[in-house]
Formats: sequence, structure tokens, C-alpha cells
Amino acid sequence: MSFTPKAMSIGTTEDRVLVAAARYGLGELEVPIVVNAADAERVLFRARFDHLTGMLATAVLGDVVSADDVFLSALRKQWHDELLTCVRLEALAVRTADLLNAAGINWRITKGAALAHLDYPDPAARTFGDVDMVVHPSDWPQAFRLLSANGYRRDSVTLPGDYDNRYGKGATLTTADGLEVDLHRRFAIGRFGVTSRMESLFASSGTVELAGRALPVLAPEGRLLHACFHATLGGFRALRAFRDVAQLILVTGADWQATYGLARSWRAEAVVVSAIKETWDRLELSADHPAHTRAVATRMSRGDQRALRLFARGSTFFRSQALSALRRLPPYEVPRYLWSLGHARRRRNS
Amino acid sequence: VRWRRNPHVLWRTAPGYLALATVDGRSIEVSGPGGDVWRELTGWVAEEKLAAVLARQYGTGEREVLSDLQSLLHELHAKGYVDRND
Repeated sequence: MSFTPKAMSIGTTEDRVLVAAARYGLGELEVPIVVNAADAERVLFRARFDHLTGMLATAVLGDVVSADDVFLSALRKQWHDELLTCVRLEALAVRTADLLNAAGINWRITKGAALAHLDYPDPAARTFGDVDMVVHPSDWPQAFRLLSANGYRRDSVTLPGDYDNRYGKGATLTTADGLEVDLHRRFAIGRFGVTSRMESLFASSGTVELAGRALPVLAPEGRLLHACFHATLGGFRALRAFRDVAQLILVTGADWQATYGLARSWRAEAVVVSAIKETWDRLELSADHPAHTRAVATRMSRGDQRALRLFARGSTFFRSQALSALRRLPPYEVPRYLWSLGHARRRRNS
Repeated sequence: VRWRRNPHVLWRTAPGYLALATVDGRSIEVSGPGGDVWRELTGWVAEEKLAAVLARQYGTGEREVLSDLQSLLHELHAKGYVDRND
């Protein structure tokens, strides 16, 4: 990795460094950013936490970010660790695919492995920490039972009342060697999750080749929709999530109008609007793009704004976010929904 | 002798680094020029030709490269990461 001695140092380098890394390749900042030694540890921690390490390393290779040799050595080590994790996760994705296919389950890969290979020029730039799979709504219960019977373990509580299938986001499953599969039933809980129509994502698909096999992935407009949900409603709404949104729109050329259409049919247009506006703000992108223009021009209801604020506060409890669904549920579903959520609270209290 | 990647292997390269994994969960990391070797193995490649390409990249002699190259390829072959065609 090269060092650029003519680069100038900028005050709060932590954010500037990570923004420079997250937007690398989308139009460069005028001045290379130097990582100050005092910020180095925090920069590496945040890059690891958000899986921005590959982008940071790529930005260093491109002379957009520079640092001393101690930082570069630690970054190199961190990047290599994440790359090893990625290939181990991809092996797990192939094994999981074999299980699901043998049972005739309809599924798609989404997020990390799909984006790394299909949307980024070098998959090493887009590292990830788990396997994400979306399962067709009619197959989700069977998929969950199948993986549970094959050694995939769920650490969180399974709520009663068929919560996962009727209202939930899905399940995070862990293998014996500590790798994770996110088995998605929906992209989010709460107001924007319960009105989703996940089956519409299965009307089209693409493929990604892993270990010589063509595995099904969400089509670009579906990948963009998931990226928007993660950027707006995800538990860790950090820069990498916004880069995925920008990458899909600006580099892949995903049909963002189709994504808006899908989201509108799910009563979740506010999620896409918010994701695109925040992507442009946080990555400091040129505002001159029709997807951004449309986002800025779209009015959101007060109810949508309230729900978005609830998710934007990363510390908000699961129950509060889940309760944002109440006004979107048919009245006859509300008692069952509250009973399921009550079980979560009783478990926590006990 | 000709070599190629085992098409059923998962991989990532970075400068001076190569990570490989098999579907059954085994994995290996290779430091140094492993990534450059891997990039050249997109199809069947004769090891002399591979040595010549790498010698040009590294500005060194083909014989010197060939010895290290054979050692690496034999190790990767023994672990199932590359295919060999005599």
C-alpha cells in the first residue's frame, strides 16, 4: 500500500476517513485524507464494526486515504481476516443452498455475497459478516425448520403466535463454527415490514456464481430495495449501508424507479426516500441525480416520519419498533400481535 | 504440467494475499505472490508459461520463480484448491 506524503491532514479525521473510504470510486474528494495516529484505533474499530475495511483498504491503494506504516499494517491484517471470513461464509452459503434446494424451497441470496460479486468491481472491497438469504413467504416456516434440524441454532427467542411468519423479519441462525445466516422473511419489523409483499421479489431474479454453482440472487431493483431498508431501518445504519444504496444506483444502474414502485406497493416508499436522501447527505454525493431529486420532492406522511425517527435512533428497543406496526395491521390481527410482543417482554422481565 | 483453479473453490485476492475455501468448510491463507499466481490460473496454464509471466511481473529469473511456483502449486493441489493436468 502506498503512502502519499503530499496529502494534507484534516481535523476530525475519523469521520472524514470513513466517508472518503465509503465513497471511494464514486467521485473523489479533492484532497487525500490522512489518518492521524490518535484516531487510528477508532478508525480501524469502526471500519471493522461496519465492514468498511475493504473499502478503506481500497481507498488507501487508490491514494485517497493515507496513514503511517503501523496503521497500514493493522489495516492489512484486518482486511485479510475479513476476506477469509467472506470465503468461509460463501462456503456456508453454498452448503445452505444445497439444503434448501434439496427441499424444493424458493430462496434468493441478498446483501453481502450478492453485492460483493455483482455490484462492486472487486469483491474484496465489499466485505461482510454473515450470509443473507430471503425465503419465499410460503416456504419460510419449512426453511426455518429444515435449517434448525440441520444444526443451525437460533439464539434469540422465538415468539409465539406464529410471529416470525406473520409479522417478523426472520431469524438469525448460527452454525457450530460460529458463522451466521440471516434467514429473511421480511426486510424489517414494524410499520414498513408488515405491509411488505415479499413474494413480489421472486417474480424476477439474477444469479451469482459461487464455487462453480449459479445461485439465485434478488434482481437489482430488489437488492436496492433491501439496501434501502437496511440503510433506513437496520440496526447498524452506518456508512457501508449507504454506500450499497449509492453503488446500486450509480454503478450497477439498478432500476431505481422500479424500486420506488415496489416500495410504494408495500406502503414503504418513505423507506426508499429516506435512504436515498441520507445516502446523498452522508456520502456527500453530487445532488444531480433523478433518484435523489425524486426523493427530495416526495412528501412523507407524519406517521411515516414518526416511524422513521423511531428506527433512526439506533438504541430504540425492539418492542417500540414493533409497535409502530399497529396502525398498519388489520384490527382483527392486533390482539394476536400484542400477545406475541407481550411474550417478548415477559421473557425479558423474567 | 498444466494447472488451473479448482472451479469449486471460493476465493479472494488482495495485494500480497490469497484466501481460499472449499465448500466443506476448509480454508487456507497464502501470503506473498499467491494472489498473482491465482489471477493467472483462470484456465489451464502450463507452469513454464506461468513462471515466465510471474518472472516478468517480479523482475526476476524464470528458474528462480519456477521452483517457488511448483512448491506452492503442489501444496495447493494436495489440498484440493488447484487442478493438475499432466
